[in-house]
Amino acid sequence: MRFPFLVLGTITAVSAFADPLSQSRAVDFYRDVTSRKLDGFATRSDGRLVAGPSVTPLTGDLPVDLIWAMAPAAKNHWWVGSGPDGQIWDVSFDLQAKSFQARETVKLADGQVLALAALPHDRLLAGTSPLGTLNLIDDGKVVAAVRLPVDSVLDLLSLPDDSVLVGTGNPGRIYRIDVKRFAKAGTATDAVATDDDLAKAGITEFGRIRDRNVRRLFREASGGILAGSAPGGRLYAFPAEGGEPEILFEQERGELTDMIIGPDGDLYAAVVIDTSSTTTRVTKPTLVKVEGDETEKPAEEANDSVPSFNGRSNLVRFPAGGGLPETVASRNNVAFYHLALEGALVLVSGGDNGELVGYDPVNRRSLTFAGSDAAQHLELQPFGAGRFLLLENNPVGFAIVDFHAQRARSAETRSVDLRDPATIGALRFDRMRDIAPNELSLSIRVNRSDDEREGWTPWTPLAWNEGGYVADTKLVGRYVQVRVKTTANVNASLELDHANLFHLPLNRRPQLQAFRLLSPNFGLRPRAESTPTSVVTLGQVIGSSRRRDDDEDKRANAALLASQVVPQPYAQIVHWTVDDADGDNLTATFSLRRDGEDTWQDIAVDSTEGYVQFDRRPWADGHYFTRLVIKEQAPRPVADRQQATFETDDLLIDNTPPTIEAVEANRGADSWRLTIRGRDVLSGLEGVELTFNNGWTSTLEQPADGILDQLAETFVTDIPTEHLVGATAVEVVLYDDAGNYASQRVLLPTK
Amino acid sequence: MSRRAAIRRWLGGLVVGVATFAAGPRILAATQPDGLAPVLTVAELKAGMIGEVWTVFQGTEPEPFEVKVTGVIRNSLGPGKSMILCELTDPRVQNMGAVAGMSGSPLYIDGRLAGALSYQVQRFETVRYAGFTPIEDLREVQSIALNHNANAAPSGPLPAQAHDSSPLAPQRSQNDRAPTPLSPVFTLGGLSPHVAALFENQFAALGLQTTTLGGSEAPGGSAGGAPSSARVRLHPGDAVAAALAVGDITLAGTGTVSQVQGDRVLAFGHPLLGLGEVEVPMASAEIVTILPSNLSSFKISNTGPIIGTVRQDRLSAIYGELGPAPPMVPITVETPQRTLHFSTVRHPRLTPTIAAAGLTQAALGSNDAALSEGFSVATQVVFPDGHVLESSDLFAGPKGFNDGLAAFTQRLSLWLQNPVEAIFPADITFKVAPLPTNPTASLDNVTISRREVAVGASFEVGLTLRDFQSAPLRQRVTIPVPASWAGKNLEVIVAPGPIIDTLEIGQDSFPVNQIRNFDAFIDVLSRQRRTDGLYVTVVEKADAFVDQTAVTLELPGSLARVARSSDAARYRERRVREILWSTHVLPGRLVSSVERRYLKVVD
Repeated sequence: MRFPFLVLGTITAVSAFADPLSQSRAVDFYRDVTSRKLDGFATRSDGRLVAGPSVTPLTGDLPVDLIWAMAPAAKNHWWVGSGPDGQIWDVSFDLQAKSFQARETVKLADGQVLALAALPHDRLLAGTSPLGTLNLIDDGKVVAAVRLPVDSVLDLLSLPDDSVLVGTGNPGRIYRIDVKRFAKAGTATDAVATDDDLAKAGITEFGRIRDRNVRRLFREASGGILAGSAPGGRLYAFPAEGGEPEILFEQERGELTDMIIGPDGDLYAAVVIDTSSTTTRVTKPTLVKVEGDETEKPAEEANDSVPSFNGRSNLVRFPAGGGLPETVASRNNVAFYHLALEGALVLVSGGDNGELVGYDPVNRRSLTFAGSDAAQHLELQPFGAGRFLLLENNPVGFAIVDFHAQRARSAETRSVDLRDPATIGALRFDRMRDIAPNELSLSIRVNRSDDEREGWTPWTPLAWNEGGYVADTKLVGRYVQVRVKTTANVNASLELDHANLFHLPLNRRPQLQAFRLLSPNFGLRPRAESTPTSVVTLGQVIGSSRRRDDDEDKRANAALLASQVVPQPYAQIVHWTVDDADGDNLTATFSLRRDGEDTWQDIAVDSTEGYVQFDRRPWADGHYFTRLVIKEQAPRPVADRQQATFETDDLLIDNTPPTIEAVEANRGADSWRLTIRGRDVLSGLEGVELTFNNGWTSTLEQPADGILDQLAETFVTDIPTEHLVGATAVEVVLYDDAGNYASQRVLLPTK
Repeated sequence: MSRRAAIRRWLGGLVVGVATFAAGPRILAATQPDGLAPVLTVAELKAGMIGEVWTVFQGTEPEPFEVKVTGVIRNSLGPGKSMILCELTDPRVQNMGAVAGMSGSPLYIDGRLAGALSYQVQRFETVRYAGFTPIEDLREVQSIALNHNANAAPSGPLPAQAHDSSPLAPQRSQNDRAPTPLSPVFTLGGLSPHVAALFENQFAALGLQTTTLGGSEAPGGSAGGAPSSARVRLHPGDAVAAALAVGDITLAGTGTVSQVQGDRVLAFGHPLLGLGEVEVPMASAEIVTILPSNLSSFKISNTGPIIGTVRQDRLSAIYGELGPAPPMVPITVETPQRTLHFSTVRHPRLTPTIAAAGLTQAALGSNDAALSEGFSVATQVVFPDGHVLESSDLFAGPKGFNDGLAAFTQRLSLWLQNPVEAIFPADITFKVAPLPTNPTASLDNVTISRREVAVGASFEVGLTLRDFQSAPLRQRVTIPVPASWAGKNLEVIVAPGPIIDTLEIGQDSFPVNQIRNFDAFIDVLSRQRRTDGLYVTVVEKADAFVDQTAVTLELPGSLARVARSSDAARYRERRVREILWSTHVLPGRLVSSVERRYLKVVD
């Protein structure tokens, strides 16, 4: 039976490593590396670094504010629709030179060219907003244009029969375009109001939805048409011939931005849920030269200044054989815009911080790829040989995403907080697959503040040593960044699991939290400390990083506070509470020194208790200094041990009883008046107890002057005569504050 | 022989006679030096020099009066800008001092032009002084004009100042000891005193000190063409006016010519409005008389025909050229009884103010009393590129117009202050029509027949209205419910047009940085619904993406975010009301109420 053995082993392990001074911080690459710090690497949702694409920005000039859509024109040529001036560009790409050139081919009457569809014979269909025009462009000229009764043309889908479906916004309609008839429609500027007029232009209504926008169209293998909508976030399924749709999915305040058939044959849809529309203007990042790197990279300030989308995006899987949709991947604050396939991966271009992510349907894991300098990627188009063309906005541009680039890969963590300043030890990967230690170079830098830019040490290389990577110089800091680089041409199947960064936190001095001298003449009966439970929970084993010695300290302290306090003449209790932020084992030495003397006399030495009690009688009367010395113990190295000392002069030893100086008893008409004068040398008086021999007793705690504040006091009491019938003597007992007392028997006068 | 020539010949003879026997007080030169007189620079000036200043006291002929140079106040008007201080020793000016309207009067010393009268330096002091702008500074203005390429003369509107009034416009100093420019008194012609008083503050805010105590020689004069043939020559000391409006309504400031060289004229000795390069009509002027005052004397004048164009309005002078008048904005105000025609300079604040003054004159300042119940004003502004802005406003009697005058002027000013392109209106027309009854009405009650209504059915909106001092009036509006409304929670809003406009686009004003071209600017101003009556509307709340003024409802967030990230000023998101159904009711009434009812549509 393996399970009991496993539990036992775990308990043993925990016990064996009780009070560890060294700690480790797990570096989860999925959590700790941002997309902008990846190059040739990807981070996977299991925390590993795996091979990823490189993203290379292309240089060139495209003098527009926005680019919305692209469609293939010829080899290395794409048509690109832009705004706000309604231009369509012929953009040619030169991957060798990492550049592009743009030439305006046509300018439309409407402002934003949101959708493009390449047609046979080098013709192009373009849809616009906000006038909702559909334009047929041939040889750089608009040969046909119709203003649909909509605000926007959002998507175009070419069908095998050479017709084109048009998805529109406000209202949500799908029109079917007979391109041949449309080509003869001429160029109209007014909105077409009637179905008949539309039909004359070769335009018929394929279907309509109640949601505002038909955001994306998709043709299934069966010929059925899927339509993603916004802002209802619905997925509509239309028959191949059009008509009434079926709703397959709905996400309130959502936008279904794209669909694709995954490598497993299932349909995947990107759904963006917008909970806030706050956006901020983005400026083109400043390019800076990075030392030792030939390429220019955006300055970090620019990267940090791109807030925006605060919603969530889901990748929803629709099983091929039917069945309910399932969210397989979700990202907060990332908007999914476009889907593509690379091998067995579903790629997602996103925003609004230049994200490029992926999903592995086979292993059901998410991936984060290197991001780009731009804020949003509206399209990610295959460009052959594992490469993709990325259409970028804010700033406008293009980039090549290359999954097969043979070059060095690198990743850099964000600032990892160790919680306390610490001496940095080794960095050890849990697993390193398909990569040799000599193919990997690591470096580290530390900072004692959380400033992103200031206070960092230079990057210090880590050397491979006994299964870990170690710096050859001592590094001390609270915040750590780790940089991982490979040599070129490493195996694309490489995997780097979580790394553990070992460190020794700064040893902090123990702190005295409380120190109390209890009133004398009380003793302590320590309560037995509760035995620790032998049950270890799963949460303790895998979840909590809480130190067990913390638990022990709390248990011991709780036991002490629950101890019984009993009257015990001449006993003195001293109690203290000490805290050590690092969980060191502590001992205490408690000593006394009489005022005016030089020699400390130890009461308790290296005690692990939080209290001491001692007999006051051996100590001469007088004022005493107390000293409590707290010392760290093993396993803290001797040289590193710290101690804290606390001194007071609050202790008063008074073993001498007070003096009864006089007792007077006078009989009045109806009562007896007793007057007692007493004195104490050190402590002061506490009160008088009177016991008459007829059994009547009386206690006096208030002196005659009303204030119990002098070493000598007079106590006066009047006792009605009826209480003292038959009484002939009284026993007077005078107490001082230290619990000492003196007594005197006095005969009551007969007259 | 002209009267002028006769006087000159008579004075010349007198001088000859006196010069022969002179032994007593200095006698003024009988002949005024011409425009080519040599100059006397500041460096050559000495205290005690006797000079003569030529100006028109009455009529059109300049006459000299004597001054004595007291000294030069260095840099008193700024670095390198000094002022010549002279004592006005001539008995004729002892009771008036420096006079508004004398500004620009040339100062000659020993036949050499030394400067131009321009500043009043005291008010109640017992000895009269005046400040003169040195000739060097006047000529600097001319050199600015001559160095400027004539072909690059401004064809657009006059520059508007950032503040209400031009910082260089002649302003009376609050400090009694500070020299004060002899600001030209702008004479308002064609306006009744009542109307002029209504606009006094608005003109003052533009830096214009106005009075109706003046007139114009040529009512109905035109602008933009050849100058009048009545008089096209000027001489130093002549009265000259800078006209901001001509025609049935005139507004002109009168000063004095300082120097004439051919067709080039320097005048005033200080700025008109301090606008720099300008195109303002230059007119001749006749002085009726001078109103003396210990505080501020001024010339009462009649503005004559346009004789050229003022092209520079600078600190030390205005510079003009005799010849064609500059282009102006023709304004027509039509009433049932008469039509006013006048033209104004092209200025984004002056033009609407003068236009509104003309309209007010037509509505309130005449004997055409048929407007007492109320009247409508239809405004049409035509731009050179063919864009036309139109509006129609109702006013409940003259008081209603009075109350709405500031708002009306402000809106007209907005129409003319186009921030994106150098385009100015080519023509402005107002049509004023009387109303038979007071158009004010109150909306007492709005009812809706159903709060929940099914698709295919209809419901009624009932309005209870009371015209001014009339019995209640009821009107019902039937609204059909189409299938597209199914399942929606809607609102029925009854409100005036401007309120519906605001609800529809989600903003009642547009920041300048949101508007990027003239078409959008015109679109902002054109999308206004009628201001009279009420609109009964069925609306649905929606999120709108606004590109300048183009509204797209519920544009997918992915596209809106990209656009707004690119240009958050141009592309905005607004919560608006989509107008699903609308009708205009109760035209010809002024109703200010807004009523809202909720409606649920079920299938």
